[in-house]
Amino acid sequence: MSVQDRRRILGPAEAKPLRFAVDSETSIPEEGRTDDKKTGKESVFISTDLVTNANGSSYLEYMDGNSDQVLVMSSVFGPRPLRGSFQSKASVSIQFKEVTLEHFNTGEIKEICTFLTNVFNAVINIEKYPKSGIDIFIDLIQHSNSNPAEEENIIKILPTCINSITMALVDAGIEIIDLVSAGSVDNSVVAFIRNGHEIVGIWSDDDKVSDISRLIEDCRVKYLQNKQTLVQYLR
Amino acid sequence: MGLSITEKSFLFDSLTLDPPLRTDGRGSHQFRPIEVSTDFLPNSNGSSHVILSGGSECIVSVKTKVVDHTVESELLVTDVDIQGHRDDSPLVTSMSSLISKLLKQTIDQKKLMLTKRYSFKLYIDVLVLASKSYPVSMISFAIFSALKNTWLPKLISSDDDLEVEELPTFHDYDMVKLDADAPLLFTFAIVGDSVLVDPSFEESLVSNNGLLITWYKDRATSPIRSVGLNNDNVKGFSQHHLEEAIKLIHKYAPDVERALVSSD
Repeated sequence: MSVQDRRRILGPAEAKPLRFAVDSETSIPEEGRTDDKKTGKESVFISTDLVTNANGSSYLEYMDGNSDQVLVMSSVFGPRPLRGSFQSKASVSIQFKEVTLEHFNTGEIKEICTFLTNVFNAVINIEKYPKSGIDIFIDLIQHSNSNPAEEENIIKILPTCINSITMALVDAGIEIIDLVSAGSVDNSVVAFIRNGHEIVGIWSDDDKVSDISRLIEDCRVKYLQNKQTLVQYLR
Repeated sequence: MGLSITEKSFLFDSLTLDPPLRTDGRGSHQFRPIEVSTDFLPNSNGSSHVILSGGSECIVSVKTKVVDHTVESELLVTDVDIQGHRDDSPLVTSMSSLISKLLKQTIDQKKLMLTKRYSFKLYIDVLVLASKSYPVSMISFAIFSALKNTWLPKLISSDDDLEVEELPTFHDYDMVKLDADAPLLFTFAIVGDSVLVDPSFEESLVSNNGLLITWYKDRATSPIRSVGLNNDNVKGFSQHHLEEAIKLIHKYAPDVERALVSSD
């Protein structure tokens, strides 16, 4: 009787066991870390090209003064061919996922996805990519709130998501008409392009909003800071 | 039904004229004719049926149940169903999330309280029978007129039941009107440099962007959103478009509200 275990596929006779390299501490390059010089409180960490099988990817850490932390990773797949009927322009799809804890309900997540898709439809040069699809995936890795009593708020993560997608698109080499970035004030987010002359998205949940021009002005200041950070990283 | 490239370009050019020339001859501040009928569902506490010209149609029913609010804290349930769209499609889920969040913020839950233990729980069911253009405005008009015409049974037992355990008893036929203020949502299409209220399907196809602005308690308020009315013509807009939309709302929303209130 043979004692060989027939249920397993044994490797070849001359096989050697796998040896893993010694795990060395990987340090994050400090030059990517840019601090907001004006307030000295907010800080953003940007890194790109992390996901190897995506066409472009980015990772953003946003920290504001009150230890609110948002970690977002986006990856861009495409432009890749779309099957089916002919389309003269690219179709952009954005998926949002919470990797660790689930704070938001599905309805809210769908709302952000449709909102972001609309923003990036205006920014990506979709005429350039006929018959193709551009798929963008956002992973919210962490979202910690300094004030636990406060309800989880989509507004807090939205600007970071927008910045992160922009960086991923730049990394993927997809044509965009300008670097889009967003600024938020209280419960409102406004996404701008062209140095704040053009709005590509507005999301306001603030009941107390009385003067819309004032709100846009405040968001524009934040936008310019955010955009400056992105430009500094890309330089 | 889509439009050809030439049709779209023709429509775009006429909409960007000053003053804009809309396909149905409306001014930029003018709504499509709205037909509202209320209280037509005998089994609901309140109902409304809104028909827009162009065949868009929406039914809203408000039903109620008495619940113990110490156990059940959620007193408002909104459900949106749009014919021709799956329940998990982005349009349906984002719209129902937007509307239920908005109603929870605006409807005063204290007004639903019957006694110190019992409350009315409202079930607001929205059914969009046919719609090609972005239906949120129509839905909010329908919810508004349904809630304005909702009648709740009149309580005849005491409203203080903390000490004595007592089930609420209602009058046999007397009803009390629900006192609830629902918000109105307005959609605007930005086409070139013109801002158009209540875009029709063809106008949404050529629009560069869309705006959603809420009107509640005599002022334009949040949520203010930019919404994509199509996928292939989207462009940015400038601040004065937004200000123009808000100006139009301030000017014409009171008339719309008055018209809807007087519809019962």
